[in-house]
Amino acid sequence: MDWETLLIVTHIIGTTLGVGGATFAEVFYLKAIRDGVVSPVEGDFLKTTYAIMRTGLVLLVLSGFGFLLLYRLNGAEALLLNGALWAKLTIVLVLVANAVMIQIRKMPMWLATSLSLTSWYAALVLGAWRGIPYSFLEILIGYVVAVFAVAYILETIKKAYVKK
Amino acid sequence: MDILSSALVLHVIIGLVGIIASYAVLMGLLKRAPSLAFLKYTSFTAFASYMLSWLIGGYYYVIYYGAAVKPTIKEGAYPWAHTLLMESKEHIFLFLPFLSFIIFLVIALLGREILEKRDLKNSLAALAGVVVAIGTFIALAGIVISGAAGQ
Repeated sequence: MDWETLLIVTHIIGTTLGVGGATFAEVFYLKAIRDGVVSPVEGDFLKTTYAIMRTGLVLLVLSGFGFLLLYRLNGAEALLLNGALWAKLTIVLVLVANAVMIQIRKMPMWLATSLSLTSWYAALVLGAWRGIPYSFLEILIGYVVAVFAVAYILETIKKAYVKK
Repeated sequence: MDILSSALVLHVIIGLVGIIASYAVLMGLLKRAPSLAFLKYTSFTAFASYMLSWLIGGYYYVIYYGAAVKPTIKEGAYPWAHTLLMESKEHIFLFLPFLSFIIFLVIALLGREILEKRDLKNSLAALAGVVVAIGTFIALAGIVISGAAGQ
């Protein structure tokens, strides 16, 4: 297996763990708060899911930098200043900062869950979409709009699902 | 892969491991009941990674970057990638090994005292946060500098 294939496989595994983890974190969180009490078993499921998401993030970052090195070593340095790449880097930084804000309880949960879910799906879309025709700013505006749209959808589901 | 390419790859990947380890220290310290063994292991990994990345990066700079890459960037479309970013990077980077050594030393010497004294734990977490922020800036600056080399 050559380096590029290894990086692609690692990047896909990282993204899959992250996107899957973020999705199941949301599902488990909704199920956990449905009766108003997070039981030890539910808490344990959530902790495990967050650990999987963190593993995905580490794999994503390491393999992502592996790609950047590959561009540098293959003389394709121009790709390192690509707007879509920097939008993806910004979104990964949001994911990292969001985890810190959740831990110190400085982020409202409606925004934290939306940021996590939207950021992971955005990273997936930006990674899979070749030749994105949008600039850094356009992508980030779309991302911010998506964060609030997802927050609205999640809150609507929560209101319908969680017992009063 | 030749020795210079290997040096660049190792410099980046080991530096990245340092940032990830510092982030793990930060997240560990923010927990209600942090694991002391985890904090010791991750803080030492961060310190050792920054030291190694510093040495390998220094070798790459002296042997190759200064003579071959720096002139290309300065004559290219983004000369500020060297004059501003690289010049800042090579000085601000020095905080990383020393701050991460302080974090490791405090965790190793004070041990359980950190977990019992909330102010001390929060101060150490703030310091770990500063290390992560500086490390992130260094990594992002590295991407821009490498990108500017091809313009």
